Amino acid sequence: MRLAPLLLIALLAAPAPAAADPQENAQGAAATAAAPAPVAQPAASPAPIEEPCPQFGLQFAMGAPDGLVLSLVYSPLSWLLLDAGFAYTLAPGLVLGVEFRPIDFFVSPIIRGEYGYYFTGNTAEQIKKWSGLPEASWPLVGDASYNWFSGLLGIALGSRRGFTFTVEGGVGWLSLNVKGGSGTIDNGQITTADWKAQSFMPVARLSFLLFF
Amino acid sequence: MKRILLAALVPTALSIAGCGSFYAQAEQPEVCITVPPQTFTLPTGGLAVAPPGGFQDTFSGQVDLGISDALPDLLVNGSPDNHILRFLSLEASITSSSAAANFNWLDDLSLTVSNGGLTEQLAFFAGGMTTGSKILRIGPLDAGNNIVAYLRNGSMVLTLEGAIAIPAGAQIPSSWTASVQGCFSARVKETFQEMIDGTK
Repeated sequence: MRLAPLLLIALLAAPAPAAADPQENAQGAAATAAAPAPVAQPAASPAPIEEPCPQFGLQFAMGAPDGLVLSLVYSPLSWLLLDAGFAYTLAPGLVLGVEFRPIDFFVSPIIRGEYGYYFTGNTAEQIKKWSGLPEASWPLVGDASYNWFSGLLGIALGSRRGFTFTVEGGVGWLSLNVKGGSGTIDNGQITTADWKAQSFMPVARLSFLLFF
Repeated sequence: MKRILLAALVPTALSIAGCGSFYAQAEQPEVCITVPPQTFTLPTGGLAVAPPGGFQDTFSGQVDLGISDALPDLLVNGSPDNHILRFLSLEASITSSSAAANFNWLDDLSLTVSNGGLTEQLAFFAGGMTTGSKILRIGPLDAGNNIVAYLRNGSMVLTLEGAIAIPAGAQIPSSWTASVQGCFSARVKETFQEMIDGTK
């Protein structure tokens, strides 16, 4: 028997994938229809939507040279916090801060910069006591105010969408400005010009922040 | 937990380690001390009027300025390495009760301070005074000179030494009385480590 005809017969017998016999197709379709339909899988759940970070918060802080600070916090971006607050140490003042929290996690590092200004209050009275000047010379010390700016590194513990506790440390530059004065001491007249003191110093800060 | 503790301890450790880098400084740009009127005796040679050829002699006196009444101890007590006291000016004003009505008799004046064996000339005036002048004001020879080492128990004793030159026929005063004002500036800078150690 010749090979070519055998090959021809084999080719004709193999089911064609594109142009199948309609009768065979109908039979196949019927067979398919008869088989139990596969159970429809429930639609895949949509990916959970992450709750956005609150933009506002209230913060209470204590530290040096901050003193006690109550601030309103605004967060335009999840990793950026801006705060402005009322402060008190020897005198009332205000503190402005900018903070970076790059990680949205229970534990997050912090980079912070802040500026504080304290108005005249009891600062001059404390200077008179600390400076060692005789009491008769106290009129030479006038009103005093001070300002400072600092950079801090720290750790925030808690939820960026709720409550966090932070501990920070760094360095700061403080400037104290004191008005001069005049007085009569031992029958002599003494006059002092305005004077100043400055310090490059370590700073530390603890804060409690509630986002809402 | 270890990382949290480390994050809290690192700034503290750095602060402690940086005590030599952290510092405080204070500066008083000007403090002026005016003492009650001082009377300084002048040599007359037993004469009331200068003879032909004029009258020349020398005189000296001291003025005690209570620096500690005007400047806190932290500014002036301590090593000259980081405590600076500078002389700015001296002004003497003849009072109405002075035997010498003005400074016509003054030819030159030197202002010095001393402490033990050390003596420093702060100021010098020469060339005579304008006729009838009642106010003498002199500035420092060296504005950068640190005289904190010449403080003694919080006081600065200034020695005035000068020369008299009175023309012939003019009255020779026996003394001169003036209120004396000395002006100074002070500055101090200490590291935190020095404050902790108590070294100055």
